This record gives sequence, structure tokens and C-alpha cells, in this order.
Amino acid sequence: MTRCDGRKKNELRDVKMEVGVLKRADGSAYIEWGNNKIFAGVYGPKEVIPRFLARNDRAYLRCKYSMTPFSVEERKRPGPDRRSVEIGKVTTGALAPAILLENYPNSMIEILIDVMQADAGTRCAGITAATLALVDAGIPMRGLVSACAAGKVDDEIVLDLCKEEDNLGQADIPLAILSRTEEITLLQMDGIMTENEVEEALGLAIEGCKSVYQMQMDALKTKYGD
Amino acid sequence: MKDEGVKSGDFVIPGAVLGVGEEFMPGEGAYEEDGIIHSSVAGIVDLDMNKRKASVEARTDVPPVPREGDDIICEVVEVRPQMVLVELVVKCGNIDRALSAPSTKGRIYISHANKRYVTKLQNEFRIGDIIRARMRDTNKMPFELSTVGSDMGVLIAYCTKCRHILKKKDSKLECPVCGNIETRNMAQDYGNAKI
Repeated sequence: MTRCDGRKKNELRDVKMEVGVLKRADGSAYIEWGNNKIFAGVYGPKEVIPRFLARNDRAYLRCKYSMTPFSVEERKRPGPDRRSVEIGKVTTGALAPAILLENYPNSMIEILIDVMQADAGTRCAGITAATLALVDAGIPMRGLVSACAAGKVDDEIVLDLCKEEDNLGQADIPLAILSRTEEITLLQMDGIMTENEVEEALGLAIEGCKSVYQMQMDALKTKYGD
Repeated sequence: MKDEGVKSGDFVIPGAVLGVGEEFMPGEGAYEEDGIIHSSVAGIVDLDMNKRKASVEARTDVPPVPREGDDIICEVVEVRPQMVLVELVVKCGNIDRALSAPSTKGRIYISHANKRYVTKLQNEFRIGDIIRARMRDTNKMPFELSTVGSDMGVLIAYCTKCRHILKKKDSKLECPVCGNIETRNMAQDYGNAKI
């Protein structure tokens, strides 16, 4: 099977990661995943606002995902929308198990993901970048969260769908894992797949996450290794 | 994905295995889960075989959490008869990053304002003053701070009449614009403090 961009079915798009790119944020990262261009910034631990969200046994994690108006073909109306709120929520759920939130009770850790250019798979790329930004901020973590999607295009299960495949394909499964334990922290799906296809897609996505993990390690070693 | 055979001086990322619970206690930058010691930050491994402690010295910036004994730069927000309320700004030696604390509110009780007897706190601090204070108690909210000590106290004071920065003149402060004379509990490096 040949894909529209010439990749093999189990091949990721080109990924470039950079850590510590923003001076003002406590931690930051930039990722280019195919044509996706995403910045992630981390602030905190800091005071919880509004105050009633504070928990006396752990930190409160807030994740905000937003797309710039020029990130997509047709201008996107700026500000939060249903999709951004959903992705922010699932990203919080994907990253929370990886952070030692109990180290900072009554505090808040804020993650901001800004999509500069979107080309399918932004939530996976955002989670991957946010993980690096958290490490850059020195926030204690159990391990790195790596994310990758698999899907079904022309009745074939393929890894890491590009925009054309995402729009015209039959199904899409974004997946995030805590790489140390291979614990799944994000699993979503749209479209229709058989049970066997789901299993095949999950296997493919987990292999993709492992490749992403290696790239995350390389990015951190490049910044802090020497 | 296990990092086996980690030794002191190696670079590790969060989640890397440092040892087992029977062998080490988790130190800074490490945590224990299911009997295994893991790294929690990106940094350099330090396996202390004498103290049996596995820790990781972070290569990244770490959150500046205020601890007892830390010097904190604060801004005075209210002067009451018995206490001064302050807003904690940054930790000395880590001025590039905002303080990582659940609250940025602190107080200096009159008995911890100065070594000598203080009759009136308004002669020691005024609203808007930038001060250096030492953290006394992080378990209380607001945080308890102290300005006892020659290096503690006001670093920058503003004239209560015209809000210009006061200049040090002997043991008092003088406004270079309106000539107003005021008193403060000054730090010994008032006017040229290095944070």
C-alpha cells in the first residue's frame, strides 16, 4: 500500500523537537511533526486561581489547548471552542498520571499548548511537546508521556495520519502512553473499526509512541545531556 | 525501556531506574514506586553509597519552592499595628522564576521585625517598600517571615509624600525631591542591593 505522502504504513512523519525555546515560560518546548508546528509552555507550581479548585493533597493541573487563527486553511475564530476545551481536558488526563502532583499540594501547574500550524494529529503532538515542557520546567515526573495516532485509510491500518488521510480516512485512534510502564493515558477513537482492526491499530500506535519516546529522550539529551 | 546499570555521573531523564528500595533511599530528584527507585527530573545521577541515597541533580531549572531559612524578596502591602503584610515576589538567587508556592502572601509579626524593641511598625516599613525577609514558617498561611538581622529589611523605600525613591542619609532616609525625612528598618545594603 502506498500512502498519499509516500510513507510506509508503520512510518511516522518527520518529527523535530526542541526544549527550552521560550525565555518567559518556566518550561517550554517546540515540536514540528510533519506540517504541525506547536509550542508548549508550562507555568508553576503556583497559586490556584480560582481558589476553590485547590486540593490539599495534590496540585491542580490545568491544560489549555488553543489554535491560532492562521493555523488552519480557513481562518479559525480565536478563543476557546468546544474542540479546544475537549482537547485541553483529555490532555490534562493524559499528563496527570505522569506528574508527581502530590509534591505540590494547594498549587496549580498550568500547561499552555499553542498550535501555530495544524496538519492532523495536533493533540498527540501537543501532549508530546507538553511533556518536554514539563521536564524543562523541572516538575517532578514519573516518566515521559509519548503520544501517537493510528487509523484506518482505504481499509488498511496505518500509523500517524496526515491531514488528507485524516479527512478522507475511515477511522482515527489517538493514543498516549506513559512510556516507562506502557500505561495508556489517552485513548480516543472516531470512525468505525472491527475489534481486530482496533487491536492492530493499538499495537501500531504503541510502537509509534516508543519511537516518539526515543525522540523525546534525544531532545532532552541534546539540551541537557552535555 | 528500562535504563539498566545507571551509575553516578550518568545523565538520566524522568522515569529512569536508579536502583531498588533495598539498596537506596530516594533523595532529591528521585522517587520510589513498587520498590524501585526512579529519577523524577532530567539530570545527573548521584548514588551515595555511604548514605545509601540515590538522587538526581537536576540540569533543568527547578521550581523555587520557599523553605524555612530562605531569603525572599517581598513587597509591603499593608502595615498594621502588630504586623506587616507582604507579597512574596522572588527567592534570592532565583530571580528569573516566580515563587512556586500555594500562596504569595506573607506576614512579619512585630516581634520579628527588628532585633531591638519596636514601638511603631510604621517607623520600620511603609506600603510599597521592597524588602528582603527570611522565611520562618512555611506551614502557616500567610507565610511567617522575619527581618531580624543586618542583611534583612528594606532594600528600596518610597517617599510617603511624593513616592520618589528615598536616599540613605546616615541612619535615616531623605527624599531627593521633596526633602522629606523618614525612618525604616534598612538592610545594610540599602539602595545597592544585589538580589
